[in-house]
Amino acid sequence: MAGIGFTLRRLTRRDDLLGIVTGYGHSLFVAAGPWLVTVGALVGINAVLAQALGREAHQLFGSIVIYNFSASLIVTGPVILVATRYLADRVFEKKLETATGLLLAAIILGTLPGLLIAVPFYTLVCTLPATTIALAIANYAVISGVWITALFLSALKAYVRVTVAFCVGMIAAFGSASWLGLRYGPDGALAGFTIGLAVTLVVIMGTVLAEYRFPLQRPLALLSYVRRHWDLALGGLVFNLAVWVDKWIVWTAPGQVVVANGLVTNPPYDGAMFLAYLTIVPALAVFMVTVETEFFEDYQRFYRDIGDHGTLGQINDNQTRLIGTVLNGLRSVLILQSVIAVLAIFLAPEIVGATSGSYAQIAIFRFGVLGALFHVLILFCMILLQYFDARRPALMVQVVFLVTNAGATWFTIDLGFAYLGYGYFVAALITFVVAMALVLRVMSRLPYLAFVRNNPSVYGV
Amino acid sequence: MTGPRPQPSDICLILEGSYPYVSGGVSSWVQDLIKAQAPLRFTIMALVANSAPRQRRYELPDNVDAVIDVPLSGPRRVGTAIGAGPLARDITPMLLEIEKGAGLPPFTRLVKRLAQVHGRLGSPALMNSEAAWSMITAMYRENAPESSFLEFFWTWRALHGGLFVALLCPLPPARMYHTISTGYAGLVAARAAIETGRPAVLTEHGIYTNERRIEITMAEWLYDAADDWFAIEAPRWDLRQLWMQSFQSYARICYEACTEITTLFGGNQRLQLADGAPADRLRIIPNGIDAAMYGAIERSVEPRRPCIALIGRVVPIKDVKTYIRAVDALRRSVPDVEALILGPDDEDAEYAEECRTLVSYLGLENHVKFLGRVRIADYLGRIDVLALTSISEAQPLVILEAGAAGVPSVTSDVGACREMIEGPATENPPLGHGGAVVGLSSPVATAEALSRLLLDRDWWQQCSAAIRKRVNRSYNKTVIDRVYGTLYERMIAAPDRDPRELAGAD
Repeated sequence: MAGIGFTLRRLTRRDDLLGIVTGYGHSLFVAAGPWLVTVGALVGINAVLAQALGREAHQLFGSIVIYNFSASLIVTGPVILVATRYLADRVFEKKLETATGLLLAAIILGTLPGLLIAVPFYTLVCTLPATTIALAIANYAVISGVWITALFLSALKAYVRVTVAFCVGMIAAFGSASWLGLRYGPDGALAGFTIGLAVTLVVIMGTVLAEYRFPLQRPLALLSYVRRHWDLALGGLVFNLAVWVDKWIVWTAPGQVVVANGLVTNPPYDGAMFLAYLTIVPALAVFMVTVETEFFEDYQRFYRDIGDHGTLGQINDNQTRLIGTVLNGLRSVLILQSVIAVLAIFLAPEIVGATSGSYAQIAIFRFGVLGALFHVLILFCMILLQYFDARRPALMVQVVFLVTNAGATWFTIDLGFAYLGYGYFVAALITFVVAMALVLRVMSRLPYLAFVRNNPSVYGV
Repeated sequence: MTGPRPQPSDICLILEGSYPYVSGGVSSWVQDLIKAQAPLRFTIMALVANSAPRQRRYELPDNVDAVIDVPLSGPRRVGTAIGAGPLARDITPMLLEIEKGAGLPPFTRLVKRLAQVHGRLGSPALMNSEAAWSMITAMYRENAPESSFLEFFWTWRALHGGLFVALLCPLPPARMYHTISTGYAGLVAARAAIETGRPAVLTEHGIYTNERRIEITMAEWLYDAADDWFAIEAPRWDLRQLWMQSFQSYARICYEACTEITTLFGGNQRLQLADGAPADRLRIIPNGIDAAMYGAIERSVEPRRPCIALIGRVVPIKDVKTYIRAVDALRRSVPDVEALILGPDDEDAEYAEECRTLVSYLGLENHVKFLGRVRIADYLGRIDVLALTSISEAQPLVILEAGAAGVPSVTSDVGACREMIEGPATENPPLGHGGAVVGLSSPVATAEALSRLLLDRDWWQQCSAAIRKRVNRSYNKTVIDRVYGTLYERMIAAPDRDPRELAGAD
């Protein structure tokens, strides 16, 4: 399948406005597509069911979905990063025979630990009817499955197929959740949403299995990879924890809602934050174009020229050029995101109002927007560190984000409701500074890393 | 600090890639040397490729105190590299000077600078740290800024990895240091001389730089060890030159640091001089043989055909075909000549078959006999002249073994042959020819020389007496053993040298 980079390069280099617009549109579609259609489906389901279900039932549905998303992202994080690495190494070797075995191993390894948490949680901690328990657990399993199978497509940069699968699934989710929700209440909504996710899963799975037509072999290879790349696995866990930790802490703060004796959330905070996150969608598109076009070309040139017997002068020139491209890309994202953030902050009352949010959410939303500005830059840095195989610096960024987000949020809780979100903003800002410093440091040492530190035949594995 | 220090050995013998792990000519020589020099006590430093476990091929004599393995490719991880930055900055100009062939003075400074970090910084800090990286790039800019950096990188690592190990490995205390090659073992010896003030001695068999030169000229292997990720096409010539130049500099350092430099024969001395060995320290100590044993072989008196022999493996380097052609020419003057070939013919079956075909083609079946692997002593009594047609040799002992038994030789002009047959320039009084030396691949000249020895009784007697006498006097193993013994005694007794004297450096 043709890589995303090829498509984006073709579109953005057409040198006419339509090409550029189409290019960024395409990038938007693949970079934020799955997320946007999921949000869209949930918003749609809410709109249809909010009146019909009543507050309590409606909150039950929302809480279960949030819990399942949050837990599954965290638990599958390590497996996803390690399996992506495994797959990337096999793609590099052009030896994909073990991919099917990997898929099975990743699904088991990614889903089972989460189920070990979800099952006791829903059965023992919450007071829920048996059907709801069963549906919540099924929903959890399907979400995990979607994350894990999707990596098999994104590792091949087949982002379009992921987005298409989400579109199909989420349309189904909206339809079935609305219809079942109206008939059977929260259980129906949950079942309908799960069916939609299952459709996504099936579409992705079908694409993956069509792509990797191999018999099942060596499913245990992943385990040795987890051992060898423990820092990657840990990073996957830590980063997703960092993204969610502020919400968990705020769930204990004023505004909290407890459903079914166990499902604690803070809808004003969560809602404002999820809304704020949406502001990074254009930035995601821009940075996908940058990474996949100019950066990737410079990156490849850097390593190719080494193998093609370049002189040190050439190698250093390529390095300078790569650094220039990164700084340019970063600047574009920063400028764009700053404009959006300023607009969002000014228009906060209107935006929050349009989503029928409360007045109190405006402050949270504003901090959230500022935080998201740096959050998106952190993501950019993380991708760069991943490209340079700088696993320790990446882990450091992840840990810093977790620690600062937890610490700062914990601290702001006492400052009162208006300051909720301030912690996230401060944490994102600090983490961005650290991440940027590390990216610059790694890039300034790139030839050393390529020849010595990241070279297995010099430095060992 | 804890307990008494062990008594230092008399001699620290520094060996690279040979004894006690690899069997072969040089290793057997080492084993004999150690045994012959008892009760002197030896410590062996064995420079080996890596730290993989390996098996000893020789039973260590009782007078060996210890064998210390020194892996040339050490650990890879840089631990704490504190101080590596200034160190790398300081030693870069020294390394560049060494590379350019400045010899001992920069090497002495290097040894002293590294002595400051002993025990704190290992070779990974000089190979894999960021400080090391700035050293590599600085040297690249100085050396070959237009060449492939990838190739320079691997060349640099190969050259300097061994150098740093030689400079940083633990050095056992000893009264003297003895290396039998230049290269990394030679660097260890040079370093020992500088650090301890004890004498270092080099007794070279083959000339290391010359062997390296041949290897490098033919070398694709240079980059074979490089990584599969960094796929390589063709190595470039300029880096091979750098490689060669470095080994020559390493040799020069060793030559300049050693009190005595010996080799087996004069031809090698010319190469040593060319690589920068100071003429006044050069000396020849040939290898010896058991002259008494071979001297006791009686000449057979029963009537028989005139007999010549080639003793050696049937392989191209011995040029057996020239020998066969010489027999073809020889039978015109000596029609009943018998020509033996004593030596295994299974090493190069194809070549051996070609030789047999040549014999039948020339109709020499009644003259030439392939006898395979035999005990030479059983045949020497009835061989009249030994023939050696090799195209390359160092110091072939078979000429001496035959000579001790009074058998003169006709040899090609390779290695130490002329010295053994005609006597070294220093021979006093000259003992005369012990046979004849002819050009390479010259069947007719070989046949003429053989024919004269077989037909001219007086000439044969003269040659036989001369070679027998020469072997007894100059190539007798008991005599040679004493020469080494005296050399050792002198070095062991020498007072400590002021290191400043060595290099004239700071």
